[in-house]
Amino acid sequence: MQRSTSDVTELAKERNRQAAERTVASWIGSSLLLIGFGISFEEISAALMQAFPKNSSQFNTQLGSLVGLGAIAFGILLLVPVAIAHFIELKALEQENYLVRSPRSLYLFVAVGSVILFGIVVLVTVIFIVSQR
Amino acid sequence: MNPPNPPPNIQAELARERNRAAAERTLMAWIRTSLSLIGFGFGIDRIVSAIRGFHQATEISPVQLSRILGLAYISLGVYALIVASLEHYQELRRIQQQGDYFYRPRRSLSLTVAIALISIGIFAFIGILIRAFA
Repeated sequence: MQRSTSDVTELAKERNRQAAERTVASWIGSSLLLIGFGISFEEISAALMQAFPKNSSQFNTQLGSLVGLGAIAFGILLLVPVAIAHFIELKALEQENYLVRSPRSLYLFVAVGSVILFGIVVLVTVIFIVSQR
Repeated sequence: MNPPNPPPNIQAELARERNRAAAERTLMAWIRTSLSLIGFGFGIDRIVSAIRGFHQATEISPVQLSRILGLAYISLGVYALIVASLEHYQELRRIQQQGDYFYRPRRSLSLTVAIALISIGIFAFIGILIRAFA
């Protein structure tokens, strides 16, 4: 049987695959944190509104839901491009000649930028609520 | 007089050792991810149950969304850890075997878990959206 690639190259491909798996696992951790935070925030917020009805206005109740929903949506949206990039990477590893594809750092900038934006939106909302009292 | 044994390919042997270490790190990454999944699943369920128990007079969630999501998280964590352990065992066997090594294209565990997590997230999003604004 004729083999075009050496053992070392095949082993390197396997290492690249495992590195890609670990990268996605790390992104899953970040996404999980956001989705878990969103669900917990909404649930705890709803429970507190039920427990203390004097303080639960319609606005407060919906704000808790919106922050929770925002975090969940953000967690989902973060994972979609990561999954697509991972799929492309796996397909590239199956090719005979491997070429580095899209710049991964773009996703990191988008993720960090989105977290900062999310934080600013929540901060402005909280300042707005405090100033209304 | 017997012919001398061919010298081992040192680069390939070192590459095998790097692969073994990479496989260990991958398994550890999956242990961490699974621990997070199981911890979150258990945590969400317990916290919401505790708050509900603290204030039993009102019904907060008739469909018990948090319990379903908690169980889904725990199931996904257990599944990921079992599959990661099996893959690690198979990879070690392949590294240790004599003869040539070939990269084996196979289904990606991280892709499966990512798709499952997106599905659970969409389910949670729709559930909360219906409960909050319906």
